Amino acid sequence: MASETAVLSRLAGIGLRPPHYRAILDAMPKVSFLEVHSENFFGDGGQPLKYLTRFREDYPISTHGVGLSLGSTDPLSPAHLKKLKRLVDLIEPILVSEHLCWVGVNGRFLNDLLPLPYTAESLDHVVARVNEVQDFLKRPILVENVSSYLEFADSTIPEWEFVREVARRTGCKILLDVNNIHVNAVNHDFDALTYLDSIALGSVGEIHLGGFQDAGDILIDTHGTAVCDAVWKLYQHALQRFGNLPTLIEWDTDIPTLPVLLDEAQKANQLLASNELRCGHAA
Amino acid sequence: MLRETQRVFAASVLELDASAAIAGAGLIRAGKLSAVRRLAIYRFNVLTNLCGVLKDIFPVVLAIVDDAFFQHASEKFVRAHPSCSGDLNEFGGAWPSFLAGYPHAAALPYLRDVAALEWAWHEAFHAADAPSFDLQRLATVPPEEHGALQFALHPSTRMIQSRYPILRIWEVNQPDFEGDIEVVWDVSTESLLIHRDIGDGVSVVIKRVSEAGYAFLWALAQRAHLEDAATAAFGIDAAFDLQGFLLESVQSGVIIDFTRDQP
Repeated sequence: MASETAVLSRLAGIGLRPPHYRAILDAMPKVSFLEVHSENFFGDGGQPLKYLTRFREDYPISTHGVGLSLGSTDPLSPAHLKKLKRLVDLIEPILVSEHLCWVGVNGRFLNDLLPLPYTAESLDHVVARVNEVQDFLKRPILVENVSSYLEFADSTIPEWEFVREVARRTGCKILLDVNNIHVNAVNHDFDALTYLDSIALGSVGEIHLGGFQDAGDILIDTHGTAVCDAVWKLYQHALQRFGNLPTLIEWDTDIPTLPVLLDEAQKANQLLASNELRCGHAA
Repeated sequence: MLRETQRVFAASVLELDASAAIAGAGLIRAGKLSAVRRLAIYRFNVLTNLCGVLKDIFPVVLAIVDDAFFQHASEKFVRAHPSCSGDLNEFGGAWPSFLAGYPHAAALPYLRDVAALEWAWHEAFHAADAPSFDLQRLATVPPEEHGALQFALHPSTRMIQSRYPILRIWEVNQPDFEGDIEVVWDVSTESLLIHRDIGDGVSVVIKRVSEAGYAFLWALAQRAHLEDAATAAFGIDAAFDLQGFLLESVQSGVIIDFTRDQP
């Protein structure tokens, strides 16, 4: 596992989206892994799984869930968990991740990554749920910090402490979305470096990079543009603090051509290479 | 406490009623933006995302109406028929029946059946894979026992009948369609079979079948014995080519297996 992660950390990975299937199979670009949204492969068969098993022959796959609703007070869906396990057993992903959020309640799904109030109650709840998922899958998962456009009035714990504690108490790794930290730092007026420096060494398992949209009075996480300079700087800081990590370029809306996506990955590759030089071979 | 927060927040984002919207604002720290504006961002994201899912599954309905119509209808739909899964491929099954009762679609009576065809396509696309029919195994069954056989259809098989020419409507609204877009509004029943192609195993095929053939396959899908399914077909068309249709259904991968009752 350690050596596998080291290989994954040398080059960035990219999100695998249907518009690029053909181009990736033709070009076989040098990326260290491909990441998919787990639910897109929850079907029983057909084209999606056929493609994914084809890609699995040439690339490590990471599965990234958007619908499990880890933070919801509804019971975890047995059907959802079973489909996730079926996919994990079939693809044997190198990384399995979910979001630190809730997506519905009372059986009604909003299918959006909704923030939690950061309270002791929420923390206990999320910890129990992460444990439940890890027990069911029989493997550790990664949990990603989400962007948010509001803070709940009853929140008592800073987001970074909440994230850190979830990882400490469950043994899950953090999927650190550096773009989401930047978005939240601007939206909620905190210092992104404080966030990064509060996350425990050794607790991060993957980094996400993506683009946001500036709505004037608030930043919206759209995954629809290139990574901005401020986020690249935060990424460098994260690499210096945590060492090289599997890094993913996410681009989900206004999806560009594959070469544009690979250019973004190349920028991450350069930062990974220079960070490796800086750290020497000690890392 | 957390459950109550989530319940109030979700109702507020969806504006399930006027008081719900106000209650949600009370949960939120205002700061430099108002709580109402913050909720509106989530409302926009949720509705845009779910509307986008419907547009992806129902592109022909979208082409027939227009973007504004679709957007408006989908917002009503999301509130009346909420998503009930974290897997968005399961969202939209109630869209055809919703359209049937949607007042602004009253002038488009075929819209519901077109939507049902697109949902069938969507289900067929994601259905399980299955091995193809083993003709050699069938050869081991004495012919006099054929009538008592039950046949299994491919998991992707879906069947739709309509009073409207929905396949033609579907075809002329495909992005790569070229040629005359005229639709002939004959009133005879259209019987459609939707399934995955036996060749590549992934492409979805839609084809017209005769009413008798439809009745035959429908009976097989209900686990009728071959002789009873044949009776249903002959009841509609005394000249139904049973052998030819059965063979074609096996060759096209619609019929994939058989079982026989143990005497």
